[in-house]
Amino acid sequence: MTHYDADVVIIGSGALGANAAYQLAKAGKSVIMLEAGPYIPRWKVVDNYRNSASKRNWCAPYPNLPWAPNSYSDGYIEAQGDEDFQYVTSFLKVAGGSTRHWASACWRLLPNDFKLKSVYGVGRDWPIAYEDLEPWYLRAEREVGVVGCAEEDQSGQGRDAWPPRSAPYPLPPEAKPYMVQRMQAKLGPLGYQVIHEPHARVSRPYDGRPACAGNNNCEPVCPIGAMYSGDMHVDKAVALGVDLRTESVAWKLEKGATNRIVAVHYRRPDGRDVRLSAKAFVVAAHGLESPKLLLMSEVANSSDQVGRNLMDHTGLSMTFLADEPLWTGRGSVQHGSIATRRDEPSRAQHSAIRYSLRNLVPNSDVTPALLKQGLAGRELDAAIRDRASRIMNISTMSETLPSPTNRVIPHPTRRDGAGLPTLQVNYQLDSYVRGMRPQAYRDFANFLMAFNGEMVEAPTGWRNQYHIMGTTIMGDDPRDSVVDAHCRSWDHANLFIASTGVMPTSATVNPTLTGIALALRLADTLIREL
Amino acid sequence: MNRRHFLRLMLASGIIISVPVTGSLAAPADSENRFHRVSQALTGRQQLDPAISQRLYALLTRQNPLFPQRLAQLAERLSRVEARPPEALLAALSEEDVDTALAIITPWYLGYTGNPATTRATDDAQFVSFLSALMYEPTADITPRPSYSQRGSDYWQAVPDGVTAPPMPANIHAWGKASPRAASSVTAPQPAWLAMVEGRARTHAEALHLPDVAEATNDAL
Amino acid sequence: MRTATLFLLLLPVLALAQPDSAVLKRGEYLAVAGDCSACHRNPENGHPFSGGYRISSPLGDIIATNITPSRVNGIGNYSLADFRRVMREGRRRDGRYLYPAMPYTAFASLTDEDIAALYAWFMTGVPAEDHPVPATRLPFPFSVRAMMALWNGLFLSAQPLASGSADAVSEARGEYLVKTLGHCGSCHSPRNVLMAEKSADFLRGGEVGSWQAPDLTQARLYAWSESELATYLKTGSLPGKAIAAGEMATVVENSFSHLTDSDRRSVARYLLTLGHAPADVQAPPPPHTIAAFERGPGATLSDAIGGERMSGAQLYNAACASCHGAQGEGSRDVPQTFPRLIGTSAVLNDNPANLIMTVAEGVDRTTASGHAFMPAFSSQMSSAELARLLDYVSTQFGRADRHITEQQVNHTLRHSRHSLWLQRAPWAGAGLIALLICLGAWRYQSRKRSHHESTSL
Repeated sequence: MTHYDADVVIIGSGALGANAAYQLAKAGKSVIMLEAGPYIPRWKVVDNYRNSASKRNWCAPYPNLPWAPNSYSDGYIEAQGDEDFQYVTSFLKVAGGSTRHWASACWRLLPNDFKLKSVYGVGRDWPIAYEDLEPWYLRAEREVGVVGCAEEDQSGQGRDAWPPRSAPYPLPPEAKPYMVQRMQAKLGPLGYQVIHEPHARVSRPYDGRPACAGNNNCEPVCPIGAMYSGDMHVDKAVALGVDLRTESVAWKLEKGATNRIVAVHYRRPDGRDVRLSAKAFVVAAHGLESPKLLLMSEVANSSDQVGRNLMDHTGLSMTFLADEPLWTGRGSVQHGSIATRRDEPSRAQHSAIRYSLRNLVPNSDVTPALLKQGLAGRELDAAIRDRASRIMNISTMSETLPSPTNRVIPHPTRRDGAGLPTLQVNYQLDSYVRGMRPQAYRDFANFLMAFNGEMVEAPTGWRNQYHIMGTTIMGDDPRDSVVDAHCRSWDHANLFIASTGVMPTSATVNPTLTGIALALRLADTLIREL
Repeated sequence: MNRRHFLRLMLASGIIISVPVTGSLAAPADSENRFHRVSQALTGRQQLDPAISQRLYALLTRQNPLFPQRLAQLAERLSRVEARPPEALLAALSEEDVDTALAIITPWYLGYTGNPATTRATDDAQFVSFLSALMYEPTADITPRPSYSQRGSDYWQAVPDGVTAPPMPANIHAWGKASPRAASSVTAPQPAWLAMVEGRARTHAEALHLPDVAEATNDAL
Repeated sequence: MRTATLFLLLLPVLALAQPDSAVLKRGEYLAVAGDCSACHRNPENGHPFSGGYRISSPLGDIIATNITPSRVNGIGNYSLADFRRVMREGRRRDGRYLYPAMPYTAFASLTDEDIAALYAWFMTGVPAEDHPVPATRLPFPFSVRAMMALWNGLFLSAQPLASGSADAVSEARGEYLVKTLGHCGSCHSPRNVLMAEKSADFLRGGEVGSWQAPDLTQARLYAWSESELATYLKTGSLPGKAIAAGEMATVVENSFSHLTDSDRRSVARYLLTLGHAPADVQAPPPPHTIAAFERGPGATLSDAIGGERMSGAQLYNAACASCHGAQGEGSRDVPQTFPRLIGTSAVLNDNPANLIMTVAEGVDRTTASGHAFMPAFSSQMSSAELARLLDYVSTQFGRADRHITEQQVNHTLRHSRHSLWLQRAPWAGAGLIALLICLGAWRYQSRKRSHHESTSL
């Protein structure tokens, strides 16, 4: 009778890993969850934020440790690619993971997003359909507390409510901020429908969380816990007996004789190594560290796709001064969206586009330039007030296609504080996403015209959204994919990957809700099999 | 976050910040008082927090050993000018004194010195204050200082105080089916606005003067 | 003629079988005013009256019974006389005594009409639910219910009170509500060693588990107006003065918020007649300038992820100021969503228990004015951190000399629900009661003797 340290070892305590841990623990399985970084309570992050000089740096209030560096650490990610775009991404190494500093947009993919190849002839298809994942989308929305309006046509194509839902959203939509009302009033006549963006900032007290009160600080941390973050499921999992081991960096998955994974090795800050055995393993270390672990361990890669097909939502961003007060900053950091171009026939030629309306308190954006102009006193104050009331930013969420040369590998030479390789990324923007620029420009021109705007920052450069996808791609053929439809490695029957890295299409929506749905689904699979 | 301290923990190569450290951090009291008085004069506020003054003075001196002299020079110049609002004070100063003045005003407004980075872990920004950062005061009645909520849920639907909302459809507050429908097709964009989006002009008036835009506009007429 | 006689004889039966709707409505209202469901609810399915809820007393759990008209497990077999005996004497239909967790000492003073209305409501207005409820078992000697006869003899006495009207504001109506249906003394009066309310200290403050039910006389309420107090009872919130949390929040939510405006005012009017103003009237402390508690980023890892070296002011700023304001001023909307802390009752209270409990357990209260919610902080901080935070709140927003120590925090949070000395020394308890009996007997004898002596002259 083999002794195991646990039924399941989960590597990574972000929203996906912690949700899987919680479900497994509820089903009575023993779970050890490894986290490279430390545990930090919410109020401490708030304290760090308020005492930081770099408040628009979403990683700054979180610990950044030699053995658990975040993505902003100097030299941690060496990126090569295009001349006009420098790849940057944002992830944390802390209990609860990167959802501790997100804005919580919680869209579902559309049915066509699962069938990009069949419908539009580009990219890949998922090996499952929207209907297959729908029940877990619903469960994910309830676990996370998603606020939404089920009546919206989220495809922007003039349908009734879409995508189809088996039950309403768990929480009703928040009130519509004045700025969004103005957007709708001015852009509607030009053909752009402003719809509600589903998100996880609860609109009334839910699951021990207060309702969103417009602290306008979703990124880097919700000060009151209205907005979902992965530490909430970490706490729930630990309360059910999950063994959370912080400051434990997994560095090797050990293969056994029958090609099952038999153990994981992790390293402590003092350099000590620990070996854990388990019946099953779930890699949930987000989209860059997960393939790095697999590549370092030389497992799960008979397809040679591990680390490849790196996708992000690289897009454009326009900032302008409107000719009327909009007063962004009232409410949370993001409300509403324009989905008119989310699923058009032109997806056969170029990326779809979804527009985001930014709602940040803009004082730190407008003031430095005014100070440089030498303004002072009441002139300065009046200028701050005027510009803060009228500044507006609209950005695109655009999709990229999986390309084997867009990839992440363990860095050949650089090492971090744990002695493990850092990351090397090659990321080039393809013609598919570049091809959407003319269409986006036409829309941006209309937005500008609607508000008789003065340009502050034209959308000529590229900006990443830090949504990591594709690097452990899902498919129906073990020769060109890393995991099957159940997020199980083709090569190792007891190895699963809970990561947005499994997504074969990027679409134009934030991938986290999809990732959580997949994690819940793979947890169900594990519960059945263990 | 003071990255210098974390760099000591990390194995990163190269330290970005090099900050000259002067001898003693304890400044003579009259320099601090002077700094406090000058700060109040230059920001137009009479109730700046003396503890923040102290902190900022120490920081500026640490960053620039010549700062105390510059401050003394500026203070002396200001003392020969009768009390007036900050913008008028600046107008009466030499270029060098204006530089010093701006080096003082800027951190009082922003709450930090230096240049904070958004996507790198290290930068040369140094924390001064958040609750005393003056840039949030001119808008404090309408928007919050980030992370400090001023009101409960859903207040953001109301028209902000002092704003006359242009006429909007009655159902503008609704989401979903009840919400106003957009036009069924998207308008074709106009050349001047397109030119601005392409980065070729900052205002519409400027854009109209671009040769291709002027031509396209003429064609359209 | 005979049919007419028969009809007249049957009339009361018919009347009983079909109580008129006015009586039923009154009974329903009285059940809300008495907040019967607070104890008699069914925690499994939420039914307000089918029992099962456990009341934790210092002697052990007392399980509230099923008071739906179920004939199997409820009061379906009770006559009006049986019901009246419960309410006035604390005795069940089978003659067994009830424990005074059921506040029959208060209900004893209900008018006959009100008892009849309640009876009608429970028998015909509430649907029967056959939910079986386990019997209460307290440790010996308290399992001997017959002891309650003695207890009742010492402590049960009804007062003749007029019930007044739910639609007219009067002090008498308020007194009636407070002393009977409201059974406010159950929480707000101190109790003696035999767990009876001290009648001489009516409403001078009591304890509910780890919470403190404050003094409701002028010693505490001198600064309240009648309309303020009525507002508090309606919404659980009076900005700048008090917020209902813990059990009072549920009392407001389930009972007070559903009473008529005039009943709330009557209660307020009556309460404001009790007691005397305090010797020194404290003005709320003046607002203080922002302390320079922002100290920049931490230098070590432990400084960056924990609060061991954070002062109370820093902990307050990190965990509380996001809603309650950097200076404890609360939110700036009207009505105030996040309450001001400066000078409020929980902060100014001599007894820090409620402040500690509110921070530890949070607030979750729904009334017509909305859903008030504050997260619980006991799981987010160590007790040392909580103590520093609470000490800051008390001294900064209350009085500078009102410190809160970690010891107090630990004591409050671990407040024993079961009185140890009573539980572990049942024989000591029995001995005490035997002593009291002897004492009572001796005094009776001595009175008889003196009377005999006086009358034998």
